[in-house]
Amino acid sequence: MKKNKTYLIALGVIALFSSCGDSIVNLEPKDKFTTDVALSTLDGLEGSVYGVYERAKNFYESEVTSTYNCVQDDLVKAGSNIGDGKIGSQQSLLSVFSFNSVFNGSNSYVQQIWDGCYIGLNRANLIIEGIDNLVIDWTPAKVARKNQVLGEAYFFRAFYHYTLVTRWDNIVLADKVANNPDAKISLSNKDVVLPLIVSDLVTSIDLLKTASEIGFSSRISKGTARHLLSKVYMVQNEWAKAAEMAEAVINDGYYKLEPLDHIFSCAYQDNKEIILKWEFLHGDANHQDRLVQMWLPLYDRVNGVKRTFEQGGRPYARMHPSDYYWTLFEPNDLRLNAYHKRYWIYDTEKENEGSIPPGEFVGDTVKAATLTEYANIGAIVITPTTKKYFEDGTFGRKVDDASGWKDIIHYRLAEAYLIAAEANWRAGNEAKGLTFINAIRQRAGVANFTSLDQEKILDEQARELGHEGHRYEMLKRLGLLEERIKLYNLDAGPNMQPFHVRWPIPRNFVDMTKVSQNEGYSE
Amino acid sequence: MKNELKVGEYLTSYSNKFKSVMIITAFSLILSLCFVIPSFSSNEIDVKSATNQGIGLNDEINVALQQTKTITGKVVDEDGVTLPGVSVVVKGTTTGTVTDIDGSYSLNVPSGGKTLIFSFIGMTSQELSIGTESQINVTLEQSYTNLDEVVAIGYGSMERNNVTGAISSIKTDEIMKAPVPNVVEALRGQVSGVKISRGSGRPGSGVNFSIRGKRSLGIDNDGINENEPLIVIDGVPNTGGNLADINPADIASINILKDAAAASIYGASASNGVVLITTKNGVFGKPSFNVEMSYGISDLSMQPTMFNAREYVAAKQAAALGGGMGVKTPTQLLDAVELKNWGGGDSINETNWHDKLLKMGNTKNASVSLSGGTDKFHYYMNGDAYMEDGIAQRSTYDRYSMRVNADYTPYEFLTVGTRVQLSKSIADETGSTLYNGSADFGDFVGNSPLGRLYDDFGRLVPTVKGDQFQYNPLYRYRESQVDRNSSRVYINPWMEIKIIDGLTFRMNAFAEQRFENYKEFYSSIYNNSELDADPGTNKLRIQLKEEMTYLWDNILNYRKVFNEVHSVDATLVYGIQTYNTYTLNTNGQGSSTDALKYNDMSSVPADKSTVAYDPDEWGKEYYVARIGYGYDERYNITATFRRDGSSKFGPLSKYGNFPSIAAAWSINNEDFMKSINSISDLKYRVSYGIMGNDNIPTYRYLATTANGTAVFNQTGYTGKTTDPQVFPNANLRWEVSNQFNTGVDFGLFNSRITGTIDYYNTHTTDLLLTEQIPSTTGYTQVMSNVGKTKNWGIDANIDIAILTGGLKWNMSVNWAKDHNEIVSLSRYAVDANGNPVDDKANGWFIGQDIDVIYDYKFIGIYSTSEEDIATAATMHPTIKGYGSGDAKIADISGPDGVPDGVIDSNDKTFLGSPTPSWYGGLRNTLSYKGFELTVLFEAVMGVEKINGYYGSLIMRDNQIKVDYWTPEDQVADFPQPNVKKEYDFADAVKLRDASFISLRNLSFGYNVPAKLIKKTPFKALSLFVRGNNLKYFTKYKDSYSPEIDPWNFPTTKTWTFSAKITF
Repeated sequence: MKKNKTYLIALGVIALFSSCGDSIVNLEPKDKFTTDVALSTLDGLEGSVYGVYERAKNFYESEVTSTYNCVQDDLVKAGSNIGDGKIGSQQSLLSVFSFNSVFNGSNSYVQQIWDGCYIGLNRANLIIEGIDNLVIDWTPAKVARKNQVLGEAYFFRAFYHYTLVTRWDNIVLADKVANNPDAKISLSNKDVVLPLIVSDLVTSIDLLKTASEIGFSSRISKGTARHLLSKVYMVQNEWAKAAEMAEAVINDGYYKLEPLDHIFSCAYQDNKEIILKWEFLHGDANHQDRLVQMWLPLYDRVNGVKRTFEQGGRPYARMHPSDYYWTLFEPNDLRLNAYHKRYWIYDTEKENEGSIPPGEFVGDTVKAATLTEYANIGAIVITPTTKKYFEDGTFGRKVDDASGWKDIIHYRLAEAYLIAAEANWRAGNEAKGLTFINAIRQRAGVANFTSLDQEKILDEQARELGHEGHRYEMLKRLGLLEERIKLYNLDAGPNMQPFHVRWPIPRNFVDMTKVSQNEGYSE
Repeated sequence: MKNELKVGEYLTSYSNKFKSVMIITAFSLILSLCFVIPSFSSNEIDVKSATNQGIGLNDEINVALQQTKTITGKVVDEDGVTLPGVSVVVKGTTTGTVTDIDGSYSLNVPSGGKTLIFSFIGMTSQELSIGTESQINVTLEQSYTNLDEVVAIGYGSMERNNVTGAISSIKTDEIMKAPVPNVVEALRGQVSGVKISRGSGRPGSGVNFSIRGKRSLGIDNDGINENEPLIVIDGVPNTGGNLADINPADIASINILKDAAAASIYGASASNGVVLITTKNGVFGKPSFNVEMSYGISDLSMQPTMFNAREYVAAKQAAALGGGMGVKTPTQLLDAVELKNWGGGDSINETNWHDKLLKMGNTKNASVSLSGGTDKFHYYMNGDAYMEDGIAQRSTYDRYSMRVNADYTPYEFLTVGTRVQLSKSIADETGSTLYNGSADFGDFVGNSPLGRLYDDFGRLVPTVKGDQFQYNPLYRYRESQVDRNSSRVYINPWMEIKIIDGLTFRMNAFAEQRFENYKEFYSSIYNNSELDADPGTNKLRIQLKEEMTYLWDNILNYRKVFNEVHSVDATLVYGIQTYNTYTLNTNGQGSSTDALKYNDMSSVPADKSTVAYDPDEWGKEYYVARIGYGYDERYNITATFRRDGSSKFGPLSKYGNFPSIAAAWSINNEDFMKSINSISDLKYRVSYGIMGNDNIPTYRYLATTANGTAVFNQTGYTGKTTDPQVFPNANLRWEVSNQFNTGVDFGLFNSRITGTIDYYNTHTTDLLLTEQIPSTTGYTQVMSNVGKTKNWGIDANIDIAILTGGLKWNMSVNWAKDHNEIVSLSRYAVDANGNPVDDKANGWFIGQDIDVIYDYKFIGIYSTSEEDIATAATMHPTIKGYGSGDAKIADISGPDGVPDGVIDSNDKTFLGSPTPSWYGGLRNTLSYKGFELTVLFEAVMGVEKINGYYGSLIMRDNQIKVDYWTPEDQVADFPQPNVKKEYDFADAVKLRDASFISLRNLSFGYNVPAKLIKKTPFKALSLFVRGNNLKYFTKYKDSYSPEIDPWNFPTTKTWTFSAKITF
């Protein structure tokens, strides 16, 4: 009897626990949504647009890809730290500077930009398609919210496509959510991609708010979209349309040409010259701007020169202006000092004065001629450089930090003036074009142009916008990339082949989809 | 924000409270048991439940109480040492007892009882007939066979003779001879087919460990090692945490399930093999009180040689020359600090960084245990303190553990028991942690031999020279504090009910809570000198992690022998296991003071702190059926089936089935073998089965979102966006390993020679891999079941009793070979004809070892001869100025498969792999009159590795001394140093043979004879000297061990002195 009871209890226990299996193996993550849930509300879609922004900014958070807008033109040369063989990622960076044999589809730098753009595109497409699926009561307030989000999504769809097609020429068109990894994939060239970009931008201009309504330039406005559209029209040789768009930006009412020393100053980050910038949240250790020290030479290796913010902070020496770049400036050009750091001074403490070369004293300018002995470390220790990205301690950066939180200026009004000048000139209206370019020259304290040609426009663009990420695009638009790099880029020039004018498609993408690699790249 | 910070504060103090509560609890438990236990006492017991020590055998044996004659006596071993726990049974009955702590027994023999059987694990049983004497004293001899032992198998146990699978058992004696705190490490070199290594010497760090090599490829599954075996402690699969939390002294037996026949009962988690650990329980007898104390010292196991100051300067000069800078003087090459210490080359003030930064480490261990039992109650308890102070500064690991295992049999049909463990570890990891990551122990290697620790005023300097990357570790240790404390509590109550004859129900329940707090602090001057006008902000981090595991197993077992020849052993199991965890991580910068270290988290300004919360959980449900049938102790067959459901897998694949079948033929029990006396045991086994691997993170089948943040006007806005790395896969399921195994167990010459040899062949399919997908989908990866591998191997061991009698010599050899290869990879890794192709990006190649090294082949260095200069230039057209002093690379192939005179990626080739061609161990034990010497060697052969300790010869930092090329000395191992760049083809140049033979353990012990301690309160006293990891015989000299992963905490050798006293 007792045993039977036990038997029953045992069976009962088994039966009890047999029934709880379902709640054990069917679990839901507690701290994460699935994507479809996240995108099922207007709030969710508004939130997800931040992920679209995040990708574009993300390139500047990497020690490697932060340079992507500054490389492969006639205004840059590789810094001494770029070939640092101890760091694997530097190999890919070096190859992007030099077109050496590692500049191929297996290059991680190339892949990161490609992948980043498509992740951004997918996020934008999810918003564009997701909005149609929302079943809510569209009050006017909700329509206004929807329009801003949708406008941003369309803008970024254009933005990422433009980034891709500028570098690769042949890309996969991402005009809808692609959720089947096995789907057949084909490449499109710019004749197919550019019209989509134009139509997306036209759509977005209608939907977006104006910059004045927004009140700052880190969020996309009508002006931002018009500015990008003017650039796209230039690629399409639509001069009249380009001029119209650029002038619309100039006459937006929000933007204005600022004093030269305000544009890149940490103290004037909200200046109205800026059309689009990527903001970094001051003090956020997880999201930092890596460009802040990339242009600095290794000045602190010089005995008697201390590492201070006045001298530039921690140097990273990945990029320096090319020798050609310096030949473009007239000596009285105010931009020479406003945009550049050209001198370093001995600033060591009194007791260490002995380390300064004989005949030189604290407060003296370091002369390159006295520095021959530093050549033995294989480094460029003193060379004039651009300071458009420099950050001092204003936002909490420490002098030894390898990154900071300064905004990255992506588009600014001076470019709209230069586009307006070029577009009008090409459209046959030289006089109008001159007014725009001379506005820029006057601010720089140099004499007005009295006539225009392509060379003058190119040179002015270099002086005004050099190292800001617009040169590659311009040279490529004018078909001058190969010629200019061969002439003026000492790192890439010797290796430059005609096929280098477009980037290799990532190797693993080619392997997976069997699309054809851009001509000339073996891997 | 404020609230979370208060939580942080609270939890810190909670941890301290917990510590004191635990200590008090432990003491009161010890005290109460000391007083309570002796009140139980009786000599007549249920024999089986006493000797099986809670392993789970439950054949019902009636206790006989007829009292006709009382026999008493004493049982000793060959050395005269008394043997407690020896079973004494009247032959043909179930009447019996076991000897007490003094080896004495007293037994009431029923009428008709003619013979007594004395048996004890590890000893040959003896039968003695009962005469007229009332006292029978017995000497038992050591046995050399293990075929009649009881081995733990999943969800039960079995006599070795009936086992059909490949199971290796390790005696606890052998584990205890290795003076290491981690039980898995103690198995090193002891078990065939089990490869164990330590990649780091950090006190308390874990081990790398595999059974029968590798099957899985995954490399980035959030730090999970896909090839790690499942560890099951007292029937409970271990869910995380460090095995260092378990005190090796608490372990009664370890059984390693190697093939599908044995392991497939663990279904979806079994394919890497299973380690079954059973903890100790008390045995019948008076309380035995043991105290064991040990002290150990540790030091580097190997030390690479650096360039000394002169060599360093010479190498810098060579590097300047190699970089085209011409001949430089030391004055031109050294910075101000170095120049001062250089003293013009005449009065060099040199720093040996190994001496400055390392010290002699030490370990201290003290444990007190109490065990014993009556016929109805058994108990074992142990309190243990282990304290290790590592060889680097500020690296300690202290572990306090307390275990109580007890069972009670209130009725014949019911036994209840519980196992309780409390453990706490306290580790100072300051010496092995830098801000933003683990410490780079390169400071020993990289710091300039002309650098300094202190300035002229005797203050620690942040960097040893002008170079900001040459840290002074002592400065950083002073300016930081990193602590990791963990506590682990588990209770494991169980109950066993004998329902009818042969039918038993067992319930095993388990609840565990593991709590870890990890705290980091870096002062405001951590990166700069206190002299600096611009100190930084201090950085604080507190991370709390709690893990909870629950398990509930219901096991129904039926075991019966019919007609004396048909034996049946059937088991049914239903069980569940769940695991819950969360991590709460708070980071802050700029607290009000450095003085309070991480404890000042609450003063961090709100905008300088972040809080992250990360919960996770998984659950498993399983049904198991096993039936074994044996005929006449000659033929055994076992069939196993498990159905596993796991929350880790996709909605379309939650449940999987894992069957296996195995057979064994005990040939020596056949009649025709009876005449062959030299063969005492011979068994042939064969098995086939399917096992799974579920070692992946949770929810990988879902497309979960990531946080995307944009910043507008200095406000961060965060929303949910896609995570490009998690494309959904509703079909995601476990890896599947199909394994065939066949083996032979044998014993020769009355089991003086015993051994086992096994061959296995495994095909693993549905490999869990994060597969790349076209990023135009917006995603870059998906976790999929793709790819196949196969592996096969042989593992064998042999034990020989070479000498018996007074001087005993036992030798044990184990040997294993495992071979793995990749059969196919992802769905995209196919050529136009659908044949699998390589995945070079991950280093995976069809038909090659999973870890194969694919690189250029280094065959020398180009000389200054004109011919060499010309060849170098044509071979390397894309490297500017390649020539004399550069590496000569073999021209293996061109694009068409034939050498083309140009070195490019076509010339990469297979250069071996870190997978050994064979590995094994050799253990010799000599014993004589209470002295015992055990020496264990381990060999791991045929290993190729790229030695990451070799430097780049840029000579910005110092590095391991190598023979480099100079125009004057053109016969060299390394290319010419070059200040501007690392030599090309660095990995090819650094490839080395990392095979080794190590003197793994040495143990010398002395059991003081009983008569010498007769007048002391001690019952037994043993003294030991033990060494671990004592010596490597290897060509791989330029490292801290051939096994270490570069820049980890250096590995050590240890000498330990210990004494064990029994009261």
